[in-house]
Amino acid sequence: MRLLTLVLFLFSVSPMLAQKYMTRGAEVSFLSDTEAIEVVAAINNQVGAVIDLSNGDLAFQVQMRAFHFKIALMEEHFNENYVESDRFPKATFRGRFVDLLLPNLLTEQELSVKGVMDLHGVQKEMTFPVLVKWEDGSLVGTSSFDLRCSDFNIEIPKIVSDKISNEIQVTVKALLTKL
Amino acid sequence: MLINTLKAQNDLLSLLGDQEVNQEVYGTFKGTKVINGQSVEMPSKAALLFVIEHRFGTINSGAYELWGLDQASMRMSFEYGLKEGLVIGVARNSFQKTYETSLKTRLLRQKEGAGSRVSIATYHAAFVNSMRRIDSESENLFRSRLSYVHQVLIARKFNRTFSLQLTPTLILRNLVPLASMNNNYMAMGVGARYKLSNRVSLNGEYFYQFDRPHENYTNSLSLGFDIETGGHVFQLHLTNSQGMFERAFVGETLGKWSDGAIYFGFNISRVFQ
Repeated sequence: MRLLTLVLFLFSVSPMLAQKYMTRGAEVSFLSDTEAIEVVAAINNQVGAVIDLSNGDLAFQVQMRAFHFKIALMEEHFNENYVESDRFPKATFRGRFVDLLLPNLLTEQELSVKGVMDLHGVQKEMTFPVLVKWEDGSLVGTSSFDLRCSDFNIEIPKIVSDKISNEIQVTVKALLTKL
Repeated sequence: MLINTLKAQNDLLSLLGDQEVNQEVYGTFKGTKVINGQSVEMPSKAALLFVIEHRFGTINSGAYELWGLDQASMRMSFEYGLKEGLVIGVARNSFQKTYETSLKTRLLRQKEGAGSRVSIATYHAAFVNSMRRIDSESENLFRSRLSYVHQVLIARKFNRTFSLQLTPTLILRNLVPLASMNNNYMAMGVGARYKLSNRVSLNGEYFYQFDRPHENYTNSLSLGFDIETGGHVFQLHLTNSQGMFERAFVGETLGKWSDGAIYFGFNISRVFQ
C-alpha cells in the first residue's frame, strides 16, 4: 500500500517537474501613439520568460537596456530620463494564469493572467488577457495591454507631452519550449 | 498568499539568470560641446546635428551696450555621422570670418562592469581665416590663413550625475604675428558636468596653455547650464572667451573674469534623423 502511494506520488510529481517552459528570446515592443511625426517605439527581443504548467505560475524578465529604438537619441533618453535603467536595469512580471491552461489543446485559448508588474522601482498588481496556443510541443503566447507611465512614476515633462503619450501600448510575443 | 506565489515565481525568475545586455555608458555629456570645447559625444550614424552658438559682448560694457547684448558673435555648424563613431563637420564663425571643417572619431567607449573605464575620441579641425587682406605689402598666400587643432578627448562618467573630461590639445598656426612666437603650442583642457536633474546639468570648462612666449592671452574659463528637451539641447553660459572655435578660445582669449570681462552666450543644438 505504501509502495502504491509512493508510485502514485511519483507519477503525479514527475510530470510537474517537466512542465516548465522557458525562453530567453521573447519579444516585447511598445508604442506611444500620438499625433507627433516621430513615433516613439521600441522593440526588445531578449526577454526571458518561464511558465510552470503545474501551477500556472509565470515570470517575465525584461532588460531595459535591450530595448532598441530607430533613433539612437531616443534610446539614450529612454534609458537616461524615463526608465532610468542605471537605477532600475530590469522590469519583471510575476504572475499566475487565472484560468486553467489546458495542455495539448489544439485551439487557441484566451486566458487571463494576474500578477505584479515591477517597473521603474514601482510594483503594481495587474490583470491582462493572453492568447495561448500549442505549436509542435511549444507554447506560444501573445498579449497586448496598456501601461500608464504615471502609474510607474515615469514623468513626462509638459514640453514633450504632445510627443509622448502617458498611455503606452505594449505587445508581448513569446515562444516557450520545454525545459 | 500573494507573497507565497511571488516567492515561487522568484524561483522561476532565477531560472532565467542574468542576461547579457549592452553595457556601453550613455550620456556622458548632454551636448557634443561641453561649453566651448568638444565633448566625447557625437551624432550617431546618419544623424545630422545643427548647432548655433552666440556670444554677446562683455558684461562689464555697461548699460549703454545693454551689458553686452547689443553685440554678438556667432558660429553655426553642421555635424553628420557617416557611421557610428565617425563624424564630419563644417562650420562658420563670425570671428575673423573663419570657416571650419572637422573630423571626430570615437576610439573607445566606456562600459559598465568589465571593459573600458573611459571613453576616448579624437577631434581634428582646420580653420580658414577669410578676412579681406589689409596688408597689401606682404604676399597673400592661402596657407598663411590656415590653422589647425588636434585633440584627444578622454572622458569618464563616474556615476549618474558626474562626468569629467581631459582634453590634451595641440594648436598649429601657419602664420604668427612675430617670429619669436610659437607656431605650435599645447594646451590641456578640463571639462566637467554635474547633473542637477534628469534634464538639467551644470557644466564647467578650463583650458590651460603651455609655451606662449610674447603673447598675452588668458586661459579660457567657462561655466554654464545644459537644458535638454527631446531633440534639442540648450546650453547657457558665462565665459571669458568670445571665440567659439579651438584656436580662438584656447589660444586667443582676452577676457578676464576678475575684470568682469566675460561674455554671456548660448549654444542650441538640434538633431535631424
